[in-house]
Amino acid sequence: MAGRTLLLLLAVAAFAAAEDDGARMDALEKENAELRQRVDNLEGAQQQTSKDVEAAIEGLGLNLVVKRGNVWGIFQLFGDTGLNYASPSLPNRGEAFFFDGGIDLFFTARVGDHFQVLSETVFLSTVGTTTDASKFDQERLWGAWKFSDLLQLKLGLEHGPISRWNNLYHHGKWLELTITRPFIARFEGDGGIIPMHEAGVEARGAVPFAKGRLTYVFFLSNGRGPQVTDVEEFSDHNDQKAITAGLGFEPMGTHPLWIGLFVRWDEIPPNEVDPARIHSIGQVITSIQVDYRGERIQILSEFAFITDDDRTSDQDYDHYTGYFQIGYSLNDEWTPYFRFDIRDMDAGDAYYSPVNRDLDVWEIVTGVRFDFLENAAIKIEIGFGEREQRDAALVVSDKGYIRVGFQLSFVF
Amino acid sequence: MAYRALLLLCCTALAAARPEEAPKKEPLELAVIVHPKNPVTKVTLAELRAYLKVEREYWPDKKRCDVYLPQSNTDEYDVLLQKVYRMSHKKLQKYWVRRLFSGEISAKPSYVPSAKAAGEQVARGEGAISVVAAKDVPKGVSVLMIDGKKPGEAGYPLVGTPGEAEQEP
Repeated sequence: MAGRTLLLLLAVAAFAAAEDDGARMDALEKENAELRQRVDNLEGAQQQTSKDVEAAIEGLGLNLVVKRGNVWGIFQLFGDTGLNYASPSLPNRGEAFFFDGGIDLFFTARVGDHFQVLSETVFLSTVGTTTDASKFDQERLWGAWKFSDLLQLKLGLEHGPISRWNNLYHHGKWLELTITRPFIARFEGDGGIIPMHEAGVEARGAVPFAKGRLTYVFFLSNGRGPQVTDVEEFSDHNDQKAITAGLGFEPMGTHPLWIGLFVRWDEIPPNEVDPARIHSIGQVITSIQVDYRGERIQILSEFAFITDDDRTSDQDYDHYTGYFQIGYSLNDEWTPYFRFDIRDMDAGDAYYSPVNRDLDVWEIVTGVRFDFLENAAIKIEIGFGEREQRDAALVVSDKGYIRVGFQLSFVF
Repeated sequence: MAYRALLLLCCTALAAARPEEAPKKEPLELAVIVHPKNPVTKVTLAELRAYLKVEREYWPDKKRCDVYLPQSNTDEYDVLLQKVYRMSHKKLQKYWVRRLFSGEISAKPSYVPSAKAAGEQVARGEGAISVVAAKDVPKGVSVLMIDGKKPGEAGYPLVGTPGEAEQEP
């Protein structure tokens, strides 16, 4: 009897254990199914990411595009090198020399549908009076929120819109048709007379209508520093801000033609170390820009008129600078080009004269660009003209010059 | 005699050197596809150009217009260059670099390997737009009317012969 009871107990226990095992098996299978589902989801997401990456692999050079979730990041690198011949030569230099044009590191990222950041950093060489040097420059750094095509708000350091060239090419030498920039677009530290860099807040947008597209820009920035070479990217010498406002128009139905009109107002602060600059200068710059890009012909032309109201000398100075450039693509590789470039200055402007930028110059540039690869080009260019120069006795005279350049530029 | 033989030799050499003409391709019609929820159902060719060149980045409902192009070695891409971009592939590549570098656009268009992949991208993103051969329009997408015409109708503007570049000054 006891044996039967024991047997029964064992059978019940075994049944209970089996029931427990069954429940555990069910739970394990359920857990297994859930895990399998999660793995499937992860693999699906992985495949999705692969598809997205696969969908974005075409482009120039390395095309370093990264997409993670709703963040797009794009890296690009520009560089150039070459050789120059100039007669007369630069002070303390020979007539012919090789040069390293520098490296431009570009990065932009978009987060979601509306937010974008952009950075452009340049390592470039500078030619000094006795020695040369390499330096690091943060050329652009901004963040922008694009509400729609009608309005984008941008905050940070940007190339100012007063020059079309400046806005098209920035420091990307490979993008430029020519080796040299025209006088209007020369940088502050490289003989320029117009501010190229602006730190501030910008509103811009485009309004489409039946006859074409109207674009507008409004830029509130720190403005210029006491000297023409200053870029006020970290601080401002005065509380008056510079304002740039402009309109561009692109007619519908043509090859890309763009016509722009821009005005920039600024209060240039006094220069405490210069007795000729004890008061501020009111500066107004007006620029007219034309940009046409046909399948073969590309024309770029802009003129800027500068009026300086010097409150120290109580005089007005009027300057203008401009160029007309045309290129004709024989095919995808060869593009000969021509440019006439001029800078006409009123002598004696205390803002420009300390660094001899109140002197006139004109130049004719002709050359050819050969895009031997999709992302690399060779340019050969001759420039000749006449420029005023000021000697030690402050006497101004005209002198002709010629230069020949060879440049290898690339993008990756 | 020697002169004649030389002439014959030259003619033979010229005939041999003459490149074989590639077989002419049939005209190809393109269809522009968008997400079915996209409120836009018709555009002009100029508007289409603005979207595909990313001059317009947003649809009227404020959704971002994400462009998916056919890969550059396809007939669809070739006709797209002729009819919409009106520039060579190299120039278009440079165009994207310049506009991206200027900060005018925040990303370049993506490229899709097939009409099926284009359909998947468009079905997934409400703001997506892509271009496929009209005969390969995938399911689950809407086809835009261009200048008031659908693919297949007379006067539909996106018809071209692959390999025939339209040279304009």
